[in-house]
Amino acid sequence: MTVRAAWFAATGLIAIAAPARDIQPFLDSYCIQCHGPQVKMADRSFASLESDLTSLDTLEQWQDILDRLNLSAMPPEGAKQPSDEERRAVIELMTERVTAAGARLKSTGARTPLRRLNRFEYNRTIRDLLSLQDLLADPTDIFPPDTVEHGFDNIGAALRTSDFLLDGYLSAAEVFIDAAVATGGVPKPKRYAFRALFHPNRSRPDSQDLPGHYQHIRKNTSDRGGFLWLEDLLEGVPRSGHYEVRFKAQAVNRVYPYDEAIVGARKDEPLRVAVIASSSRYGNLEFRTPSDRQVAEFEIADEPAWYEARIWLDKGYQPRLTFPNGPIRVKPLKKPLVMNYPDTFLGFIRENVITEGPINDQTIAEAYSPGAVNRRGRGWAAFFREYQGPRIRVYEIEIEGPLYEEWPPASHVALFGDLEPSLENARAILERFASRAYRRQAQPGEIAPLLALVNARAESGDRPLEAIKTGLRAILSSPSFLYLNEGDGPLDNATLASRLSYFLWSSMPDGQLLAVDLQAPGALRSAALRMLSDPKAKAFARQFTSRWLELYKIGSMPPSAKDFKQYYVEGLEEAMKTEAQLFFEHLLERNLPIDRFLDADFAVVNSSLARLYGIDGVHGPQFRRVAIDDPRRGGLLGMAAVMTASANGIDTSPVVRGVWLLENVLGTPPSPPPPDVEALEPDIRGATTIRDQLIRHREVPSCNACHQHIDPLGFALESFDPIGGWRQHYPHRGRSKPLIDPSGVLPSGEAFQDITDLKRILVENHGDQFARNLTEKLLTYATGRLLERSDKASVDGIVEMLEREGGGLRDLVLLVVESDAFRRN
Amino acid sequence: MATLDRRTFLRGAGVAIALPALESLSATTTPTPMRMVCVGNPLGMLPDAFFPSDVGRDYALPPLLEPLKGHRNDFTVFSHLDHDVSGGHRGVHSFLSGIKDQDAADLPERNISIDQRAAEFVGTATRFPSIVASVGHAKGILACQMSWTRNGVNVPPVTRASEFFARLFVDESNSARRSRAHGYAVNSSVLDAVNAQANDYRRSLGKPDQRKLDEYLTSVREVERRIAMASEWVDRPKPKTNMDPPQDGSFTESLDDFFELMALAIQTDSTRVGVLEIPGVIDTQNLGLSGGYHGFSHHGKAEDRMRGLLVIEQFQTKALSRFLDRLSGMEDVDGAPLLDRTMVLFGSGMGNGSSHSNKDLPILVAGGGFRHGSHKSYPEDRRVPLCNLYTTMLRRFGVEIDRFNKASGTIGDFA
Repeated sequence: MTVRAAWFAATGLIAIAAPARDIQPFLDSYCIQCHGPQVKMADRSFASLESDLTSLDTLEQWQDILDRLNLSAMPPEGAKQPSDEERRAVIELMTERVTAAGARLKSTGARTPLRRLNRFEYNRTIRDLLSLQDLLADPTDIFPPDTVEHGFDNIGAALRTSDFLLDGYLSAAEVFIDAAVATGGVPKPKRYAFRALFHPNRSRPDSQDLPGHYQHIRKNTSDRGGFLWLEDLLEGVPRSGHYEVRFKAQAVNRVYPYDEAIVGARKDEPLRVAVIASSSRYGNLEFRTPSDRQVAEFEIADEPAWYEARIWLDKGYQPRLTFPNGPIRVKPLKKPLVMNYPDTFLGFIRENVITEGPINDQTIAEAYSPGAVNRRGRGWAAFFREYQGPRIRVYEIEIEGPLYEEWPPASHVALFGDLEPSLENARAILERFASRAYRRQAQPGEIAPLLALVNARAESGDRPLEAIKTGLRAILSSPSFLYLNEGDGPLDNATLASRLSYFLWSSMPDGQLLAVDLQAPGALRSAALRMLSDPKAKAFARQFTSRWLELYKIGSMPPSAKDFKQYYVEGLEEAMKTEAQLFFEHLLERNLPIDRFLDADFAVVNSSLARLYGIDGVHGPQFRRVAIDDPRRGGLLGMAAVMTASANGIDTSPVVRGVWLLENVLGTPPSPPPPDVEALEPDIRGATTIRDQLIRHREVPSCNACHQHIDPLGFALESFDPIGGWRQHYPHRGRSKPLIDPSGVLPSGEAFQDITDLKRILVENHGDQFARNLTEKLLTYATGRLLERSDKASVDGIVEMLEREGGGLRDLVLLVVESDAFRRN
Repeated sequence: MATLDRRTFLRGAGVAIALPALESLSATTTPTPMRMVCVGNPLGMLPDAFFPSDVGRDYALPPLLEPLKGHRNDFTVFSHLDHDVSGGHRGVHSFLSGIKDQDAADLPERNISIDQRAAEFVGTATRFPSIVASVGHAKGILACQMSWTRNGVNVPPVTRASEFFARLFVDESNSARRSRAHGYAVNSSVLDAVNAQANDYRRSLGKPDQRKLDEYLTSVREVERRIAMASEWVDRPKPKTNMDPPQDGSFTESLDDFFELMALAIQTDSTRVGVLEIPGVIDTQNLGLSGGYHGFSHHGKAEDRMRGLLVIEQFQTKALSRFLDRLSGMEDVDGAPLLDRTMVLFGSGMGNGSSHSNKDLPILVAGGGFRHGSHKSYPEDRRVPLCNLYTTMLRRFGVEIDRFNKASGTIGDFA
């Protein structure tokens, strides 16, 4: 099957004929003898198999036959065998039809059915609705994960509602409303002051701490993280609100006497402290917890100084201090430091390693030789007495709050306006809030059951405020809030506003958008432009790049801390996701041509990414645009985020990366492999490379059909390691360190030597294909549905116009917004 | 590239609509429900004394399995399964999830453990969706921390036998019951209101949208039903028992009480999901040993320490054997032995305690109607995730799931 055919089939553009018509002769010759009306081996008879592929059952049976043919598992050994050519031909035919039938079965008639907000949108919406953007707690963390289709988690037809989710909605609404309501007068702020030791150093006494004066942010021995936390504030602050957090700290040993390669921390950059808000309800505050939210970050001077930030703390949370650009963990440091700098660890060595006899290079080497019995693993206190690595010394911490700029707070006003929460006001409160939550005027018929609810609760003894809160919870659990109802045909004003808002903000429309007549000429365009310049549009850049490029996969298979130290020390995980977002934003803001995604002479990086990419002259954690003259970088295919998302943390696979490129750049996804195909793994003895294995794999004709498209692209990307660093060799496998061969030939005959060459081919010959693909991805994301055959005209029109207008990303987004597919349902 | 199974492909092709709802919690519709009990310790099992040296059926019982002789056809022992985590003690809590808490934040379902996934499925069909107990209290690295919810919170265990007993058999105070009932009443009136709204709303929709809204309406009915069941529990008296309220004692004194309470919890259908944690601090002197459990686990291959550890671990497998006796003696509602309807997982998040390894975990599964009686060993070079076994167990439990956490599939030739 050609790549082009795969695309058409996946989008249902091929006329669907009954499979039996041309396949029947094959079945008659090779299958029916054992799976026919008389003999029904494995309980299968193809005589009665329906040929119209209109039901899921039939489709599954055909898929099953196809899989077995693909695997050459049928006909069985000893039976009459088809020729390779016959097999290939029938597989091709059946693949097309099965894929097309799958597309047809899922068709929604090119309209978005009632679309539930996904978790990301729900969270943003409810926070905007209640002015609770700062809230640290995430009451949606109990929601089951949203269904992902083709990378997107906002496909209306796929998003389901279960009882489990509804239960989650009920309790999340309660948490959010409780957090929003403020009763009584302005709470009096409290002042807390803490001095060292802030927490006990139970399991690993740090001998350089000086109780009463200072304590160091300890790095954990073997886990990531390492926090300075407040034992006396274990239960967190008693009330949610803004707090002034001040701490006095100092960077010690920033320029330390050890090799940077061992410690990992940079000597030429200031040490930093991040303030992390966490709740002990989620785990031991010594370690990372799921509740962690970074709320501030500082560069710390080498002299003691005060630092302060105004941060939001939820009830139950406390601010912890961490040292993000210090060593990841100290356990792996001990042995190399002691071995390389024994003169500076004499006390430790005498106490723990060589307790008697001479201490010299030879005895130390013996003590640390494999299998030597000694106590080198112990004695953290002694080790730290002499350790001169970079550290953060903290003297005092003060917290003051809660502090309010206004009372009642904006969240309370969001719920009640200026109305007293009394039963007399119940109808007005409900009507007002429902009209905001539903993103349109609430109807009297919708308010009646809510009012009945409030009155019934009040009658059964609940206080008026409680009764009204219950009514508000019902609004946040109602389908009018939870679903986008886009109707049929041209979208009306309110519906169009919502579609636009969820496209560009992943949240509800604001009052200004709802007030505009979007049907007026040019109105939609100018509304979109205004929204793109709003900070809320960062959600678009972040979320769209995350889904399109599958960056959401980063973090689920993190690279090993041993092999990729800089990934952790330099905070690369977050940095690379930010890079993808900012690159997208940069193109959007300046309306740069979309082929910059394929190749660009600039990058948007901070110092840690610049180091990964080998770009000089970038200092500090702030991102900026820098010109690059290295043709291996620039654009998506040199981005660390893309290379990390398409690797598994330990090694890379040309198949996974090749498929990634086909799906996300060229828009021509290959069919999934048949089941029970063993994953290829690099030969650990180093005898063969993955390339050799794949070449053998392609000798099987049914494998070659897809792998001829996948593998060459993947080979070019093998020059990037699992976190996007450049490499020429694979890591050691046994004794050898195989050289990477990044060259390849595309099925169209275009040959390339390496990634630079491939990028050139993509820009020169496949720019149109990429434009079409990006258009489809944007339109899918914008409408919340998979595209269908009837969308071809819209896509064609956009691609054509885009070319005429100069190919800028902002133009493309505007063309999507103004397209027929976007404006109607 | 990982292989795709049929369901994944079909879902990819968008035809998941016709497949059963994956998230539905309809445990109550199962005629003969399955139960699950997970038992674990934080320090592993002596590998040579736990893993049989031959594979398949008719293997020679190693010392730690010797006490289970009478049940050899009721359980399966697995070699070379683990979660591919490290961290020694700090990796142990991943036993039932496969995921360390520090990595949970990056995952959509955090580090939810198999028991809590099963408990979600049961919902309010039983009085307690799950019961998590620890035979005594332990702190820090010597606590098992086996059970984790979907939002990454560790479920704190009941640590005293008397408290466990009270939970099962002693009715709650009136005020506790009233406040619980009030919560249910509020939720159910919220559902009434949204249901009325939604039915009205439905009339304004076209057919395809109505089908979508029907998912919502079905969910409303299902949550209502669960609230109704939960509310019934509030006033329904707890079951009676012949068991005398247990005295709180040391680990060695209480282990059998905890197992007995767990068996009764299952038998009375108070819960269908139980977790029993064996802490890393126990009264070894009662076993004639001097020195702590943790200390023995760091035996460094010293003979006497290994012997001591064997005593401690055999004490656990002996108690497990009595628990299996008890379950096979109890009858399910249809007369079948309760053990056939109860899958019992025994193991640890620690492999070899002496080297602090989280690899090659000791894993044994009994009951649950699986095909038992053999020692299953998996390749050492091409690792099979332990979560594959958990996926198989959850599917047997009734949960429609393709892959639990780190699973790559299921365990073949077992279910």
